[in-house]
Amino acid sequence: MRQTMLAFLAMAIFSLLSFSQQRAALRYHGQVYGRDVERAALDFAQVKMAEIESKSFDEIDAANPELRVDVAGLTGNIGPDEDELAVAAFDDIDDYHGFSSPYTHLFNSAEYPFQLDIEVQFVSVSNPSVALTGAASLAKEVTVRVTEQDTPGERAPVVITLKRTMSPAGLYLH
Amino acid sequence: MHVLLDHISAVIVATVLFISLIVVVNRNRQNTVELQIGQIVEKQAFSFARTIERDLENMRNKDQTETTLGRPEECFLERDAVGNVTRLLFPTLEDPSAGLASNIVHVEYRLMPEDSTTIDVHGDAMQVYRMERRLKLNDLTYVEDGGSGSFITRFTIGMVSEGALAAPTGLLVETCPENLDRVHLELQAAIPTVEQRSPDQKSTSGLNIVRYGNTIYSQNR
Repeated sequence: MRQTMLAFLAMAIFSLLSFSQQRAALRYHGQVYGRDVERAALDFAQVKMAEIESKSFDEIDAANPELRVDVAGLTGNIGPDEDELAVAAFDDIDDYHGFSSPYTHLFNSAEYPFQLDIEVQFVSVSNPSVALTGAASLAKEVTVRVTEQDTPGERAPVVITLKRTMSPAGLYLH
Repeated sequence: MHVLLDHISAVIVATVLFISLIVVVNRNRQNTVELQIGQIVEKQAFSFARTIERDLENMRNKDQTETTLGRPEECFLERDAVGNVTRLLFPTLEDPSAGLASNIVHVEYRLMPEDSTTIDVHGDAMQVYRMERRLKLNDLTYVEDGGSGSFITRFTIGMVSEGALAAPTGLLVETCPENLDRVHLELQAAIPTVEQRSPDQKSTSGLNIVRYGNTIYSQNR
């Protein structure tokens, strides 16, 4: 009887130890995977930002190769224009405003599911941290937000937010 | 013998627990070692990535190169069947810190497989490479100048032209476009962990693998 009790006690101690080790291993893997997801999300945000930067500053500039130096003629409209229903049809940077879609990003041969949200707004040229409403300027702030989907375990989802202020001159250099 | 038979159940339980304990402790040790090796690899991979990114950021265009060097520009990459860039050659500043006063040189990166080194990840063997970096002074003269250690397991480059959404895919040889806008780089690195004896532990769990990616703008192309 005493031997049986001791055996049960030993098994209980071992079970606790084993459980503790498994939790530690899970935490290691969670940390490493989370780090991978952060890099993949940042890479995806950079790729989308670069794609947006390859567009014209304004709808009216899409057919005009000249460098814009003032606000004359700016449409002032933020968001996709008529008939621009898909990304392939977007021709200026503010067409991406309000864009929201799930994506699977291929990063170093591994697939990462993300939610992509993009916002664009006019900002002050002299102080880009000040948003302008109802007025056009030569600076647009693009915000690309990438959120991890299907986060495993107890870890909080990875969220990467990339902001960039774009001007006609900066885009012209590209 | 008589004592052993009297306490046979205790002996069996103790033996099983002892062996199990060794296995659990050993697994934990492997995880810890892989994690630490992963951090070392990360540092080395980032350092190498910074070198190639700096070269790509300062890539020169055809006119600048040919005017300065007095010979044709060379700018291309070669890929293997699985998409790794095995050779990359382009003109860049020899010393970016010197700015425009720097010489222009052709820099070449070559992905060199380490014949006997593979890493088993989740049962799949991954080839390990090192990157050779050398300056091409002329058709016959190369000067070794840095590179990476033997830790690269994947290396890809995508060259995106102005106005394009993404780099072309599937080309084994690709010439740099005249209107290059940006370069997308992906790098995966790992080094083998300590050799394991137990068959189920010979495959690494992936804790020592580092993945990196970046988009680099080549403003001078």
